[in-house]
Amino acid sequence: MRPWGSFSVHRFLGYCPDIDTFYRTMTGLAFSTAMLRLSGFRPKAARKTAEAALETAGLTEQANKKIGAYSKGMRQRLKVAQAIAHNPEIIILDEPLSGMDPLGRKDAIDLIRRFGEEGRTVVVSSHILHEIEAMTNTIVVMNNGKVLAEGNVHEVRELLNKYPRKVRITCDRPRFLSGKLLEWEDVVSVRLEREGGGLLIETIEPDTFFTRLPEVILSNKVEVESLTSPDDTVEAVFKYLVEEKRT
Amino acid sequence: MPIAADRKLPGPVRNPVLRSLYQTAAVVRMTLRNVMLSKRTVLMVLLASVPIGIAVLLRNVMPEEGRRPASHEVFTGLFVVLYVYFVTILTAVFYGTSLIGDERSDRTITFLLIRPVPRELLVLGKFVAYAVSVSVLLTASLAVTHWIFSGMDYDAESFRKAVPFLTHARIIALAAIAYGAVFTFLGATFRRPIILAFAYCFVWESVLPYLPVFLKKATLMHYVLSLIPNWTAEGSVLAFAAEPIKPAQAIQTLLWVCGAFLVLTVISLRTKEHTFEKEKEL
Repeated sequence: MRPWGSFSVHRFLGYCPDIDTFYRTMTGLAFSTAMLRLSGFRPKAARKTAEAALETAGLTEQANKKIGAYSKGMRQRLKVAQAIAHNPEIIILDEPLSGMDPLGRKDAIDLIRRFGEEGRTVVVSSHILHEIEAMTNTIVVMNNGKVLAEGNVHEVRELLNKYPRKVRITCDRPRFLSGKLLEWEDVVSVRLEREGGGLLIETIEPDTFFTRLPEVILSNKVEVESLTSPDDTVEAVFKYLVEEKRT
Repeated sequence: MPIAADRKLPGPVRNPVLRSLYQTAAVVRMTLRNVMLSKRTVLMVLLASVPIGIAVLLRNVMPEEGRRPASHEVFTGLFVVLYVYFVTILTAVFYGTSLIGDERSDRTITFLLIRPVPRELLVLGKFVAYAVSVSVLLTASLAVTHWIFSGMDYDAESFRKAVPFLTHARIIALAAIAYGAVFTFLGATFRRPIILAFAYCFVWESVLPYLPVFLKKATLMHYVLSLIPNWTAEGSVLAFAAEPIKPAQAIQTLLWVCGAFLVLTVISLRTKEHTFEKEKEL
């Protein structure tokens, strides 16, 4: 089977494009039905299946409204509905959460996770990268059509050990803690944040850092409010990888 | 999002021939719907009304019977100038270039290309919808004009014999189909197809008839005019377009041109990668 230009492949493929254009005079139901008829469904079967897809996408109440009257979030749901309506094995979603309200995003993330759990292959492309982490741990970072990295987001981060790992700590005695941390060889820099008692630390050996940190905190009775690693997001990984590619 | 119950839902038709028929019918239906609801159709209806308006005008200003040219002669002249050279070509330009061109510029073509529809069926379905809608529009206009003219003669029957309606309807339908195929190709392939279409009609088709005989045959108009019964361009402003060929040969050529350009459209859709961002940048 030729993957390029082979139309039969499209039977197994559901695609939610990132474009926001539609046949605006059609209703959501008419659009979804038409898409299924184009996939070779009989008219009645297409309508029944389209209704089910719209229900899955949470658009049952708006099914008979014209697409021109839909909000951005509703149009986004409609694109997802047409992508999943024909029960594809592979689902490709390009920026599926764009324009959705928080509740819609949560619903969509749940749905995407559910598709994955059902054994379907779901590929999500997004520039709202932190949302990908809510869907999956497996990422492929691409730039200009080339794969920069792939795998677990934390593993990908490990590939970038030459970049110092950022760690943010908020505590009651930031100045004292910064002085202690600067004594460590693996700590490249410590920056005191003006408000909130925050410290932004850069370390070149995160494993060593995290092993020694509890001891310093406990022995000096520093009260830590939060400890986060801003670099642990897909967005940070992407930024590093693209920078690395450029240099 | 609530998951629709894991109910048993129907799938696509298994028989490939039947499935292709359903898919083509779906393309025709969608295209007809979009054509009917487009603002362009209002313009086209107005355009197709122009010959009717002129026929009404002629009916009222023509001198008394006996002192005026025969109705069939006037009708044929009006048919050539208004229907063949004006309404049919403009309708083909506007509808033909938009058939796939609008889907490209609106980016809705994405939804068609991601479906398991062979490109041949996409083009075929769209073109059938185009042929049906344009033929209905032009034939309706021609029918009214023909009826008005047949009422001008005392002997309407002899008018109908001299100017058979179905023959003329077939001519404009064939012209619309042949020109439409060319413009559909332009719409599927180029970014500004309407400019190219106008250049083709008003430069290529207008200049070539003045050139040597063999070049005249490189225009579609040459074959369309050859189909008009009892019509000769001699003595008229269209004299350059004379030398008609046999109607059967003309029909054959027009259908070949239509087929060839539809094949080119399919090839264009199959091979062209639609990169909208790049198009936007240009």
